[in-house]
Amino acid sequence: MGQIKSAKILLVDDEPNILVPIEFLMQQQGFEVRKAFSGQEALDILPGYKPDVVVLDVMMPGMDGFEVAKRIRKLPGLRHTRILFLTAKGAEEDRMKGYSTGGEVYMTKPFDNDELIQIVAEVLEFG
Amino acid sequence: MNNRSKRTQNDRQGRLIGLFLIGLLLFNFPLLSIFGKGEKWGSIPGLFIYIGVVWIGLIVVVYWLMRDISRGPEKPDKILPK
Amino acid sequence: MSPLLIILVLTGYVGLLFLIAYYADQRAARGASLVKNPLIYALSLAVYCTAWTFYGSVGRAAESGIGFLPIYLGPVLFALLWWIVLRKIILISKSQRITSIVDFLSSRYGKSTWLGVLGTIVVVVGIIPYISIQLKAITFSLQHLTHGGKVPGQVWENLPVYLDPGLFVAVALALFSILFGARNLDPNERHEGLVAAIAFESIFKLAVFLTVGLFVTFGLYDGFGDLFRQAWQFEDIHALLDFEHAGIDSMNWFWLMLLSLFAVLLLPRQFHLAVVENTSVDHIGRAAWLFPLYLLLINVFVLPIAFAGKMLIPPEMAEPDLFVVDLPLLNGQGFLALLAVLGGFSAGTGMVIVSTIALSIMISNNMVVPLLLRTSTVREGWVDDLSKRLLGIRRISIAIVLLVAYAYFKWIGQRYTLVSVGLISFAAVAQFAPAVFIGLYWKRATRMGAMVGLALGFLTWFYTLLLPTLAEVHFMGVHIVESGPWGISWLRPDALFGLKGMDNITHAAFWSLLLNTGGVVLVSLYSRQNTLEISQADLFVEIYKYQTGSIDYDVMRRQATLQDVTLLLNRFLGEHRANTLLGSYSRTFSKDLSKETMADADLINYAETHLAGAIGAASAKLIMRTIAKEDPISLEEMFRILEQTQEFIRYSRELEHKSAELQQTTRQLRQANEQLKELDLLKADFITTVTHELRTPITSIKALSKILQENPDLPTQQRREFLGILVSESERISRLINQVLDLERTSVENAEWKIEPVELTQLIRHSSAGFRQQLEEKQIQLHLDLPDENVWVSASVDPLTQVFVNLLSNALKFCEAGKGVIHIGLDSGKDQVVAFVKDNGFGIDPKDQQTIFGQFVQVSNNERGKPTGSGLGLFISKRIVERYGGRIWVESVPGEGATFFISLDASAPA
Repeated sequence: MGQIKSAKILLVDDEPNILVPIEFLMQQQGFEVRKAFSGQEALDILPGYKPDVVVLDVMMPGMDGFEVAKRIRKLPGLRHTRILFLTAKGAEEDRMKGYSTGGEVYMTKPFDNDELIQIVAEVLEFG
Repeated sequence: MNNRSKRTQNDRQGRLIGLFLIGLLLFNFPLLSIFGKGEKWGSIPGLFIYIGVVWIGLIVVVYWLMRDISRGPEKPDKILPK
Repeated sequence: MSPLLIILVLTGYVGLLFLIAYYADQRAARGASLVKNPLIYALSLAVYCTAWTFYGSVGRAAESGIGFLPIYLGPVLFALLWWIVLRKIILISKSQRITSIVDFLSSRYGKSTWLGVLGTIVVVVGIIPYISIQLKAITFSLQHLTHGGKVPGQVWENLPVYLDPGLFVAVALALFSILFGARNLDPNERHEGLVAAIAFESIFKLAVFLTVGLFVTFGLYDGFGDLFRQAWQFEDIHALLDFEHAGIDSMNWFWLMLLSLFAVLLLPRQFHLAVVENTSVDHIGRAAWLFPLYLLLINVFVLPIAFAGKMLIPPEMAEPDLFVVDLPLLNGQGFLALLAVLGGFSAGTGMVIVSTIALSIMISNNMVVPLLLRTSTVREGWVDDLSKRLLGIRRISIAIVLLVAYAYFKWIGQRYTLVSVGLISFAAVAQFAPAVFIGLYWKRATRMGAMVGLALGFLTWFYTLLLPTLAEVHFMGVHIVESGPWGISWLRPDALFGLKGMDNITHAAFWSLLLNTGGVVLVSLYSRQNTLEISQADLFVEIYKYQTGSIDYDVMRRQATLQDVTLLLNRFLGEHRANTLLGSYSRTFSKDLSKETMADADLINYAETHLAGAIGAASAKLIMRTIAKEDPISLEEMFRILEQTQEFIRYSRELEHKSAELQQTTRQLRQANEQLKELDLLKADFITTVTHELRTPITSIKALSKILQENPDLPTQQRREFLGILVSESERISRLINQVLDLERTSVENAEWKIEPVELTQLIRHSSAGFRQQLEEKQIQLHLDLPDENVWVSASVDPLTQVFVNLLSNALKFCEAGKGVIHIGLDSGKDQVVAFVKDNGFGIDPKDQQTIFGQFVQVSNNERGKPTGSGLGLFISKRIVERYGGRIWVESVPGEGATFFISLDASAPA
């Protein structure tokens, strides 16, 4: 698990107040963290940053999370990037859509801090 | 966890309660008074032996009921390296 | 034996204890804990065996044969139920961060301060006799050792207080306890060093007792057979085994067992070690048989030692409570006698240290601090260095408890045997049993019930047990005990309501527990719980439900589509293995999976088990959770989160005043829920939408409060930032709730909807008045372009006011601070009146101009961040206006502002 320590995370959510705790938790784990407040901003950051994990909100104004995920999958050099959807939606079809667009895990809000940390760690380990 | 372990969980609770009731009965009057007249087995007081046997019996049964919990692996506190 | 040598040995022993504690603390700091295992846990529980056991059991056995035993059989039986009862208590206590038995009680009953204070008083008063017998036992054992056995005349007893070795013992124990448990503050009240030292003491006292027992049985006699054979020659010893002669009756036996059954969990030190210091609930599994085994071992030699003492020690020298020391001493085994004194010392110190630490925690946490915080005058200064003062309070309370215990020993306790004094304390802590155990399984038990029950039980205990001991030493007239107060014989403390023929303990236990239980049950049935009580009761009684990931919880709720399960298995195990597994599942359980669409709980568990083989159990569970359908977050769940947050903020001094806000939010949310339930609004989709809107603020509140809770050392700046977000997100929830309530109002047919003539200019002036402060803060100008004459429309006052308030607050939100200008105007025609609210904010995109009147629609703009509305304001306004047959619409040029229009039917003046 040693390599996890240096992992890079990108957090995408239009609600800054949700990103604050996640950023804290991820930094506490020793991860490098960057934040984006919209799908477009995330796509701008992604090619240069090449994160290991993207924590992605689904319902965002403009481009939604599924769209962002689809585009991530098309970007060169991001094949190893794992996507974790974090969303207030929980409906069945949304979840399937999450998987079909290339997401690794689908978590609903409100999340449990330890669970989030654990899932990110798991995702990193499989990846 | 599966259904079977849930069942054993409920079974265990039921058995423990049953054992408690049996113990309550064995350690109390009127059963106790059977040995309350100064009987001796050999030279040892019957009461001494009776209570000792019930006591050891309870310990053994609890040990048996709890054996899979006792042997279960300790859960690590944190999965991640800090 | 020379006193100097004894003092040296005792000091050496204490030094060793400190070393052990220090070493354990070091290990804990390195993360290689010594105490996190079931053996140490069980041994630490053996603190139950005090000097009472070490000396008193033999004393009791010398008087009444096996009469010493019920005190151990009760705990042995209760250990059978630990897996059920203790486990529940521990789980609750971990989730609530409970620090003592009194804390547990107060927390169960709505975190009541007064219950905490009452409980603390009961414990402190109740436990004093118990501590006093430890002092007595240690002091007397030292006396026997220095004087070579019992000396007629009781030399030390006649010494003045300041020369009494007993006082030195008390002072030394006080210092010792302070060093052990009140050196510094641990936020979780966990002391690994203490636990290690107590476990060591348990091993030590058992080893010493067994050594003395072996010496007596096999050294002085030729084994059990020989000892008992010789004993039968003495008529008085033989008679001890006859219940009638020994004075053992079924009532007394049963009640002692019951009292000790309660005591093994409810005594402050037992609760502290069994619950507060517990590191894993699974340890109960092994402790449930290890602890009874310990009790068995420490009791095996009691009868032989008692009989040997009666045979070998001449009656004028006999002090049965100290046979353990005297038998080796009088048989030339000075070293063994010293060891025995050390064993008794270890049993006594273990009890005193843990008890006083537990008491000091209660006194400071549940009595002194809450009472001080209630008096607002001392609040300011106190809060600043609360932790320093907390330590001071703890140290002082330890010292006071020991001095009072010494006084009780000196003037009262000396006259009684160890066991009879100890039982007084058992009866006192048993008073917690009704409120604790009933409260654990019955949600309706109320705070009032617990207060009344505990108070009744305590008073009865005091009157029937403690008072007579005070009277006998002439603290008050003996006649009260002999003939009842004012000569009323049915009030006699030892024969209350004329109930005679029981010994004092049975009599007191019966009446106090009867009145106590009756009080809890009856008063609960006739009193009401407040919201906090209800939610705490739910949390305690239903702890397994709240325990996320607990067995019951998961199995009950999980459900997923077969497609999902297959997809997951394919993903992690590969298609081939997944197919094999599903095939073997359908064969084993004879289920044709091709006909199913949903996977049942069994299949989910099956899949999870196999996933666990590949990726580990924890990950499997988490992954499974992503597909297994969970109920959408319920409102109940949200109340719980909010209450926890609110509780947290209450303890955070920076934000004490903010907690009221959050409290109100929670209350409103509850109210809203209650009202919604009664109304036709309880349509699934609406609730889903509301909960969905609540998720965002709740998510950050939940995550941040947990971070704050788990990281007490955050830098102040970061703390402030997090707390700031907590507050603003909770305000967001309040706003949403208010609007939900408004919405509810608009959709009900009731008297409020009487359409009547309303004077509009007055209403607009009125609506805008409330905004003065906000306008000033943001430096936005408001112009009211209203005609001088009255304008009448058909509507009703309150809802229409609501519309203007909504429109105004929208306008405010969209205006830039410092540059904003808002106009409100009127255009009154013959049949129609049109009012407008115009702002020069950033406007609304044409494509949004229709949708903004829907539910939960917010117009957002990434550059400016999110607007702070809930998305309900315009929806509500639209419903209101349409109700009056009017119309609402918007005109806007993006970047230049927006104008909202309302048209209403004109009306004749009222």
